[in-house]
Amino acid sequence: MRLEALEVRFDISFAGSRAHDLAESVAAAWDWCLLDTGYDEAAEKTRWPVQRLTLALDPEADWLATASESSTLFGQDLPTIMDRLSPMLTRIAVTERRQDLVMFHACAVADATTGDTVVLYGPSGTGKTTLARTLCTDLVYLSDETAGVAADLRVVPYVKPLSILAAPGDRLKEQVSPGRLGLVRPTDLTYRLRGLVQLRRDPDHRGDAELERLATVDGLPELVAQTSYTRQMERPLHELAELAHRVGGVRRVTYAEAEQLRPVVRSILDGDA
Amino acid sequence: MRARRLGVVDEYVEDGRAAVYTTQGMVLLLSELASSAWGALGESWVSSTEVAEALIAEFGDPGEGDGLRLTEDALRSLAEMALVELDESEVGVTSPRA
Repeated sequence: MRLEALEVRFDISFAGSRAHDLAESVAAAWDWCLLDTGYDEAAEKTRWPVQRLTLALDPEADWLATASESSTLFGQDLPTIMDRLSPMLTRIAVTERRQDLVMFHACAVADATTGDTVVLYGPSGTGKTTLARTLCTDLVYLSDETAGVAADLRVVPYVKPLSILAAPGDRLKEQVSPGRLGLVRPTDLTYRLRGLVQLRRDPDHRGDAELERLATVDGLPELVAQTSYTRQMERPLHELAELAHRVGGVRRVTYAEAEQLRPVVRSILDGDA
Repeated sequence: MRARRLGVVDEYVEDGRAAVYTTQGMVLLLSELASSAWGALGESWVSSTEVAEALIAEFGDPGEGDGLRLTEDALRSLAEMALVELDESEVGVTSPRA
């Protein structure tokens, strides 16, 4: 199976007595990231080396012990492997792209016609997946977790499955295809960053979402905290500040419910905020 | 007292306030006073009286010798954030560029 994350290509093999079940689950959850057959020729031209992984699923601990040396990810139960696969692929892809993309811990959504994109960044728990799930029924889903931005402001789609808790208190998250949730899929359009928004979710916030512009210097601590590999940048504060200036500065939104952000994101996309 | 900067990854100054990316991986936002104190320092030792003169020139003199005390408080805060190194001995105070 071949799939793509942040334009990094993965060649995935499956092992174990339940390899077929695992392959089916990965294909179903990661369907928007799957590469068409016949991609091999193009793969030769890719700038980033193809990542070859082996995933193993088998209920027998003894078998897994012998398979562990040759497997990238292995386990006895399907939900656990599926839960761990997403961060593993993301980590590998982010590491591969660390030199040429600025990567935010963010939800990225875009206008389906113009390709203009808003990146909403924040730490875990600020509702990025819920935002993607809510907003991308009419905006384009580019990511619920990692937004990669190139020097020309192009946003690289990373249409991973959404990690959703099936029930409160669950230990593992279910990996759900964005298509299954009815989200809008990216096309060949170029998606370009138009707004950088820091998320501040406050369940007690009343009224409409509040959007404010921050002085860049005030926005930098959180912007750095939610950006990968800043230590490898030559001058991280200046590079991120310059990027922010190119898209109208750092904005911060305070909100309680994801639906409140729909008009906020629209106003940024329309150039009104 | 005298002080000098420790190494940082990067610093960004806007409207008199500095954000400093420390080698510990944190980005610290400095107050205007601390930003000015930080801006008055370099890799070589600088006396707190010289820093105080720079701050008084920028913010005015609080009077009664408080300028030096407030400056040294600011320098100690910067030291607590591992942004500067302090030498609290009296040696070198009158010849800060040792």
